[in-house]
Amino acid sequence: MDTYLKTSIWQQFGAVIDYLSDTVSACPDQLWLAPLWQTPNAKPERAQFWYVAYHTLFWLDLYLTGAEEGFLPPAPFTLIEQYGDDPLPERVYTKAELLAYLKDGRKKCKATIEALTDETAQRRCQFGWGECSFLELLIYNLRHVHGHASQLNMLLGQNGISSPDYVTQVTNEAS
Amino acid sequence: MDTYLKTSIWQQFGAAIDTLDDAINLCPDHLWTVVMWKDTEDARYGQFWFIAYHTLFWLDLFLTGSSDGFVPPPPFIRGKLPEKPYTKDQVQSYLNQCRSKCQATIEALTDEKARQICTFEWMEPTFLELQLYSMRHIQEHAAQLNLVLGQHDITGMDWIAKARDKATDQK
Repeated sequence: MDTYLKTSIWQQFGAVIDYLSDTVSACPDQLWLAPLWQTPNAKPERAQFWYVAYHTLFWLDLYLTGAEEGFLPPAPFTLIEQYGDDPLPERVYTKAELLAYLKDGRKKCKATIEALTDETAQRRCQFGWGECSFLELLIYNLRHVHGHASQLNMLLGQNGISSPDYVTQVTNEAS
Repeated sequence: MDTYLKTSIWQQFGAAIDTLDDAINLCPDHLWTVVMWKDTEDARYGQFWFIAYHTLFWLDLFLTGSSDGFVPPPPFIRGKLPEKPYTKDQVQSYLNQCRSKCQATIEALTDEKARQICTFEWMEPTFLELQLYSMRHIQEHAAQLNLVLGQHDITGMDWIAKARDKATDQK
C-alpha cells in the first residue's frame, strides 16, 4: 500500500486518539461518573463518562484485530457489549487505567496502519452491523472514537471545565 | 485509485453525513436555536442551526481542496451571520447537495488527486487526508448535536454503520 495512504490515515486516526487522550486527561474526579445522557432503557453506568471512555477504547482495540471472535481486552479489563449479552465491568476503572489502555491502543493502531498491505486492507471483516474491508473498518473505528471523544469533550465544557482543543493532526511523540 | 479504497472511504464518509442528517431531521422547531455552548463573539455561533450549517459549509469547502475563492451557494453567505437563522429546509437541502458532491468527488478520486497537497493556515494535508479530516469534523458536530437532542429527551438517534443507499432508502 502506498505510503501517502498510510500517512494520511495515521495522521487523522492518531489525531482522534490524541483528542480522546486530552479529553480523558482533563476529566476531573467529580465528573468521572457523570452521565452524558439519560438511559431509561439501559443500565445507568453505560452513560457515565468513565464507561463511555472504556467502551471507546474497548472497541478501538477489538476493531484493530478485525474480528470479535477470540478477542479479550488486557487485564484488568473485561468483555462488554458482545453477542447480545450486556455485562458491565465489575468495578469502575480509574483514569490511570484507561489512559494506559489508550496508550497501548494508540501504539497498536499506529503499528497496524504501518503494516497495512493491499491484501490486509482488503480482508473482509464481519460484524453484527455488516461486512466491510479491513480498511473500511479502520475508518469506521476512527469515526467511532471521534464521535465519543467529542461527546465526552462537550460534557466537560457543559460543566465549566476548560475542554481540550480539537486536534488537527497526530501529535509527534518525540515533541 | 482502487475501487475498494473509494468504496471504503465513501461508506464511512456517507455514514458521517447521514448521522448529521438524522440530527437535523430529529431537531424539533423549539430546539433549532437552542444554545449548544456559549460563544463569546456572538451567541448565535453556538446555536444548533449554526453548528449544523457550519459543518456543511466546511464539508463543501474541503471538497474543493482550498479555502481560496470558495463561496457557499445562495442563500448562504460566507464570513458573517445571516439576519435570521437559516431554516431547517434550507440546511437539509444544502446537506443533500453536499452529500451528492461528496459521493461524486470520492467516485472520481484518482491517486494523483488524492496525493495533491492542500494548504490551509493550520495544516498542509494531502487531499485524501483532508477528506478524512472533514469526515471526522462532521462526526464531531453530528455527535454533539445528537447529544444535545438526547439531553432534551429527543429519541430516535442511532449509530449509523454505513452510508445509506439513497436509491433504495428514500426518506
